[in-house]
Amino acid sequence: MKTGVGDRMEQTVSNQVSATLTMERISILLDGEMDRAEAMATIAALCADPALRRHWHELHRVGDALRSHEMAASDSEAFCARVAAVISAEPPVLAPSAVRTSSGTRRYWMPGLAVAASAAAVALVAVPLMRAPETVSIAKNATPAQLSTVDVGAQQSLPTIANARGLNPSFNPYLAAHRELIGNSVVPRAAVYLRSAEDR
Amino acid sequence: MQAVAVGENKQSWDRARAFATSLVVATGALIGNPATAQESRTRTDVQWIQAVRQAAQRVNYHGTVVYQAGGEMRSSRITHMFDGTDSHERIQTLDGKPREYIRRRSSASDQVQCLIPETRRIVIEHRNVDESFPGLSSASPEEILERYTLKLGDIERVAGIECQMLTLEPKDNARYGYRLWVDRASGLLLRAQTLNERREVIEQIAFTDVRIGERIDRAKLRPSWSTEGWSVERNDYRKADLSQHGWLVPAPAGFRKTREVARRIGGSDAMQAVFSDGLATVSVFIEPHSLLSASGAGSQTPSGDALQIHGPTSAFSRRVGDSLVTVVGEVPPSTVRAVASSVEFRGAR
Repeated sequence: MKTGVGDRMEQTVSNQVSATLTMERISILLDGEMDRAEAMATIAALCADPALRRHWHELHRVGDALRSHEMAASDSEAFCARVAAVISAEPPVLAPSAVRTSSGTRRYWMPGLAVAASAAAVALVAVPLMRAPETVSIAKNATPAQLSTVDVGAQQSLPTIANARGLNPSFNPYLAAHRELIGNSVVPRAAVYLRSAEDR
Repeated sequence: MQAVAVGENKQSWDRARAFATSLVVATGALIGNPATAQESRTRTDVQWIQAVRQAAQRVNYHGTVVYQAGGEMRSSRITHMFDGTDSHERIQTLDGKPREYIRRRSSASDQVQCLIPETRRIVIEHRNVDESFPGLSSASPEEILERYTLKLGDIERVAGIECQMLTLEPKDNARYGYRLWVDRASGLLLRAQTLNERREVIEQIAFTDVRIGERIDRAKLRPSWSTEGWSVERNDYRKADLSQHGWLVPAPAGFRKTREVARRIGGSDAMQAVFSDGLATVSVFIEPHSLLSASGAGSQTPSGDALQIHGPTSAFSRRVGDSLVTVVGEVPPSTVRAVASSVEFRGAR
């Protein structure tokens, strides 16, 4: 079974990714650019996760303009309970209806929020990349309902071609000698060192 | 008398330093203001490759890099500083065994010290740029474009920075393809992927955070450990002519020979020929008579006709008479196999 890079990206799901997605979706929600099902899913996620609710609070602190009555309502227990009731009454739609990318043309209606939200996204996007092996194993167990699509290429899993522990150690002296005489290439020199970081 | 000489030295040093500083400031200004830098929109294919190369050497940067290949992942911290003439780089591994690579590169030489704290060793890798075949250590952009088709992709963000995505598609199956994400302002490469013939990512290196164009404190380029009393090893090699020893090692299609050296490999004498297409490199190692004598690398040596693949690196060993031929490169397995089978012994002249 061969899947392309794009497929693999879609299958990649982890808690970190979900958190990032939801934060991003919160921004989209605030922009009013979300359809009903998606908005429901986002609010449900928000209500279910204390960390996200804290994030929600922080976003509110960003500017006075955000302290409107409707926005603050989402944090109330009663509101969350109502959302839970509605959600349980209809099938959850956790996958966004359309793929949204961070580089999209989304228009933030508040610059301060845009900065805060994108800073949070950058910090969190780095995490899944650094936990790729976990990400892969989670992706295997993920059910289609849990899958989300997001074009953050850095978190795609890499195919294990062969010998995940590295080349046979008997090749190490050759690798070191090869590495030494690699010329200046477009591919960063650092990659050359990281390829064989533990060969000595 | 001596005092005067010292004074003169100091003066010339000050001048040199002032010059270096002005260069750094000029570089910084160029980076700081994208409008004065080459407009990314108007860069030609050749200029993109030049921009990436030049930035790698001349731009100050500091950040965290994640490397992934063959299911493995490693992160490291990279600090790079250009002092106006030389570039200085320090790579600290953050996963697994602690290693540091301290690199200093000038127009004439390129030296890397690999620091291994648990055995208190420094392994020095030294490449004399002059020693290589003229101009071949880095192929020209035009040469690269003979083997690869460059295509501009989307503008995408990497580590918070807007990048131009470039793809370098190989024109044949002898090499891998690449995807590069280049900071539009500075030309610095922030992410690179190596792709196999099925366009699957087999290797990836990416900054997760980076600061570009800032002043780098020299203290940040010094090793973490005091290396006093550490043993120093040097990977020595000297120029050689393999054909004089009777060996015919044809260049793989689309590659050019950049080096032919004699050296020690794992305790036995070996010759190494290096081929490059400007992006990928293939090394051919020949250990004459190594399979005759038990004094050779022995059990440390691959036994012959063995193919190894890890991430982008393929390695293949083959017996030729009583000699062992080993080919290593960041190329498809079929290429190392083909190169190994093309090696012939024609008898010493």
